[in-house]
Amino acid sequence: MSHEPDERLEALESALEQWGDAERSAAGDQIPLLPLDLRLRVRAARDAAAPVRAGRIGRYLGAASAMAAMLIGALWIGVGQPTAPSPGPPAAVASTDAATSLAELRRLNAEADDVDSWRLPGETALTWIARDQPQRRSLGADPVRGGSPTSGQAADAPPLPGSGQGD
Amino acid sequence: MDPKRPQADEEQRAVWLRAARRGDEAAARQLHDACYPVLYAAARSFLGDESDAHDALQSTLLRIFDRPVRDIDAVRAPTAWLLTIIRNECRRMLRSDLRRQAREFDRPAPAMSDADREDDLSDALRRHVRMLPIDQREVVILRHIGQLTFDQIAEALSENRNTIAGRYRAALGRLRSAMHHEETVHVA
Repeated sequence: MSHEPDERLEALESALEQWGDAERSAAGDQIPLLPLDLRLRVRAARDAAAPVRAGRIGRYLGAASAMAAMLIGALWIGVGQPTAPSPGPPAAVASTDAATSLAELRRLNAEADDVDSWRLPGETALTWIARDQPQRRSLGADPVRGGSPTSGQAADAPPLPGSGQGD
Repeated sequence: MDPKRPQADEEQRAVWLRAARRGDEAAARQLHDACYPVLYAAARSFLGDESDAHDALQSTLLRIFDRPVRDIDAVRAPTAWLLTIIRNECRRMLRSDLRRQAREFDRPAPAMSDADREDDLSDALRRHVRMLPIDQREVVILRHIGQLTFDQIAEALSENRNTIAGRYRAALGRLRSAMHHEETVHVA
């Protein structure tokens, strides 16, 4: 007798399971088509997602085109800006270019090799170097007055436009 | 008790749910067809009316699209999730109908009349379940139609598991009494 309530509860639970199965089965036998409202909502969700994707693509393209524009601009500035002329030969050699004389070049080289010929009587090496500095500057560049030894630009020459000198 | 619904089915439904939320009509149709039996049966048992059950089901599926995509992506048990929504929807519909509310909430089981006598046990149970107080009714429906575990029901209803088990025991007690009474009337 003491097991009777448990058995009845188990029977009731079993009956409830059968009831649940029957309810689902009955509903499953008459599944309607997807309701129109739901179809419209799905399409709205799809349409809503599309501009987002296009917007993202547009943003990516915009960023890429902006970067390309910056790159082109940088290249244009680099090309369009007057570049410094090649260093070229030193002034002494430049003068030989004007003369186009190999003999002149040899003579200058010979003079450069003959250090003693540059020295005044009684001059030591140090005093000769001190005397020679202005002359060297005139041959190359004067860091105080502008120009550089590699620019090939004479110290007294006016600054090239856009070179940043003379501002 | 282990859920009777295979995990693979739930994973497939989760895939359909995510795709449907993103506008995939074929996925929405598959999700609808797969979940329709359990959702409709649950709604009909909650509301006791086929037309209202259709409305509740449709509102439930439409509510998928009110949720942000990231929320939908986080759903791991779609059937339990949809059952929770349809339960809330049924509750809302019951609350909105004051006449129905007066008729449905905490109404004692009526005595059986000859017209109510049904040979089919399932029909009798359906009728008696509908007479249960709503707190007990929803536990029975989610348990036996929704095939949810007590833990899932507790999560769906935001209640303690012991509370759910207590409501279920009370519901079984009421049902047993109702069925016993019906048998007695039948025999008499």
